[in-house]
Amino acid sequence: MDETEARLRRELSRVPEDDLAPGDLADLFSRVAAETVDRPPTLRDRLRELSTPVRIALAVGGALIMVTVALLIVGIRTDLTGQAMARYAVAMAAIAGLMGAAFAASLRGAHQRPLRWWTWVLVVTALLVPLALAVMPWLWEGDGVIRPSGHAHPFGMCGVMGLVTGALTAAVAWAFQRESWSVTSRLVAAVAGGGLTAFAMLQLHCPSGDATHLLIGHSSAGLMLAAVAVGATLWRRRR
Amino acid sequence: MSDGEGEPTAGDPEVSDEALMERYVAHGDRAAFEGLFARYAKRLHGLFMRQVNSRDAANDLVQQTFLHFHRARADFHAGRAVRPWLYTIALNVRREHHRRRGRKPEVSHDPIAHGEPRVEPSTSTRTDRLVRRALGELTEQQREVILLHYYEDLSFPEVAELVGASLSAVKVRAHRGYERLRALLGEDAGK
Repeated sequence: MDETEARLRRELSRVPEDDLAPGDLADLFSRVAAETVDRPPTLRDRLRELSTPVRIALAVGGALIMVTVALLIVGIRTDLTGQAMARYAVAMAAIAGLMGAAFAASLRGAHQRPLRWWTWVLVVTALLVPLALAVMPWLWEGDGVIRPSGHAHPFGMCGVMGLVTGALTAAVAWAFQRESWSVTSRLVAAVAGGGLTAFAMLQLHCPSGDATHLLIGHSSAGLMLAAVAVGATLWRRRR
Repeated sequence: MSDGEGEPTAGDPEVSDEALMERYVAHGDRAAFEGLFARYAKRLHGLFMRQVNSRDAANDLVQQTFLHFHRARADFHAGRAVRPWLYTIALNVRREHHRRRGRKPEVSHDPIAHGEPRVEPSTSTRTDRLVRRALGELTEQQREVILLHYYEDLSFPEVAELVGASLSAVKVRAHRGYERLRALLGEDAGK
């Protein structure tokens, strides 16, 4: 071992000299304890301190409850035939699976390795899938009849209901989040899950087969919420 | 919460990290949490100091690491080792810090630039700075592996698990980073 290598090994294994003094360590612990073990847990603390599988399951469960409640309020479409029901079941299961994956990406624990670029692939997929499904009106036929127009406005009430459902679903999922909301990928993953939930709810409610309405009114909630989320995080970082 | 009668104290080096963790997770034992903090905070601070610009930032990263450690305690399963679990959290916290700052991590700490009183540095302080500056010349992946293996004394398989890379990739990064450090510090010694 030459002199440089010996020096390098010695220096790399040594704690730097300007490291914490004992007093600093005690001060740092008091700050950590004030945020953790010495603080009475709030409801939010209790939610985000649940284990990761439980947090993901509750976020998905929250989305399913949201769809159920919304449909109880606005009503479920009545034109679904037996064949359509089977088609819908497959489509809804796929949407639910993707929504669960989006929430899992959002709520992934800090004790787990980050998914890095895979997270963004998943998020973009979750945002774009409703748009892709919206341009396939045959997939959403209830009784073999495509209803081209029944809506005065492409966005209309469906768009409003989608935004409300998506935002509420994302908010429920975010209640289980351990990170700050300035972490863009996690926030966008949560709203992508909300957008999928909104799309599923609207497809179960509205019988329209109008491609423009499906595209703008039913499937844009996730993208709109993602734009708001990104804007809000950028604004927060600049402050 | 105080330790029970006859139960080994959190400050006892004979008590394993895993035993402390079990007491902390199962019973919310504050002394066990403090014991784990005392064992790892200083090393984590040193690790962060070699990757970020300031002591304040390193303090903040240690604080964030233990905050996440506390929030994630329900995810800790009996039978797992505490150290790699904690280091995974620390690396994620550090990555998030760099991502928020949106720039390459600075590794030199210049006290004059930070308004600290000028004192004649000891040889070891000067060497610390040279090592930090040399570490700053490495890629982030090389620096991460070098610090975890040589500074934190983690084995290559442990480092591979922590950084999410194959064992061979980690060895290649360590070798290249180490050779680069040798070259940089050799140049410095020649000045």
